[in-house]
Amino acid sequence: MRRQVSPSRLQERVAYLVRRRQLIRVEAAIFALDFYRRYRRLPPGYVTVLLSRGTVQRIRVRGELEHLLGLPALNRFSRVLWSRVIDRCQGTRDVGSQDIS
Amino acid sequence: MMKTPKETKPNLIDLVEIGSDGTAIGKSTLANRTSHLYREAGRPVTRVRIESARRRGHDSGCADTEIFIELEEFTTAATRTGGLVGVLSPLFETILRIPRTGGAVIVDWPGGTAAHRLEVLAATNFDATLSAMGIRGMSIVMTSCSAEHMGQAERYLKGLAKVAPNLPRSLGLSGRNGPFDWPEQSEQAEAFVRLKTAAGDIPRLSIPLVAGRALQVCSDAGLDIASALMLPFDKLATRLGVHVFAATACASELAVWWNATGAELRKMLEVKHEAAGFPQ
Repeated sequence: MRRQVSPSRLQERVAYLVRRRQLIRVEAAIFALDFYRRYRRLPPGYVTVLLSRGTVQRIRVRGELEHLLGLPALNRFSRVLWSRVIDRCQGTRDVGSQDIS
Repeated sequence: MMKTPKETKPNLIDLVEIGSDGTAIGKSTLANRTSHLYREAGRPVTRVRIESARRRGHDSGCADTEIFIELEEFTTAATRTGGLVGVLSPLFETILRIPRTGGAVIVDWPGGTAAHRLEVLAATNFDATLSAMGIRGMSIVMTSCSAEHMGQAERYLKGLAKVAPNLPRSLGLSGRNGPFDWPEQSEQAEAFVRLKTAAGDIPRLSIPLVAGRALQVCSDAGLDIASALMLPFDKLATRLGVHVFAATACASELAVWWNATGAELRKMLEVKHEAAGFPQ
């Protein structure tokens, strides 16, 4: 027979996990964006449920933009980003650039 | 230092039966949570599992005593006259001991055996026996949001009302397969209206939806909810094959479900409503 968990310990653990939820909510957006960059899809629902619908939508849009532009990360100060945007506009190739952001 | 008021232990009913004709609705998960609720209330609990012999070793450890009845034996006995009552004798013996031991019994009926169960209730005059012994029982009929499951629950509730009119019934709405919310005049919406009509004013138990199929993910990894909650995050991540952060989010989602379901169950199983038909 499996060892039983004491009800009080289980209740304590559940209370801790519910409190912890408020903390991980802050990190969920970073995790979701990183997950999207790696796998080009959103993480499981038990992660995205921590975020607002608008945040999830923005993560998806940002991930898709990065994928379209071939950037490891979209950064408004990125030289690569702006040079690629200019290249797209001018029709020239971007040679020898490096993301130093 | 300020003293916090001592939490009073709820007075819960003695026998809870969880059943449905459909499978994969969340009966065992609910039976598991119910057993933990009784243990939280400081009440010794016996859980009766009727499952395939292959699952004999899967002891959830959620009850003080577990009685395992092999489903194969149960279905074979159904073909013999009086066979079912014989197979279920460990269950009946445990129920008979309730007044003496003060324990509670949770029965996790398998899916697809509703007709057999009604047969047993009729053969044993179950509800009258419980009333005579002063045992307060309740039968929870589970359904998910699929039209098929709701149709089965409707027939099951009607059958129970005919066969065991004195056994309090309740309807468990499991959010496992999605919310009970559909466009008007859809097949599901109409099935739900029929189910509500059949249920009348019996208590309803709403089991919340768990985001991202967290329950199924843990179940696929061979973990019951209490084990998943208690595991350290890194070990849970290894078992589920996900990142530690995702495992933390999964455990916290399960914790929210655990609290919400516990509160719903406590509301329904506390002995306070005479209207539900509990013998006083």
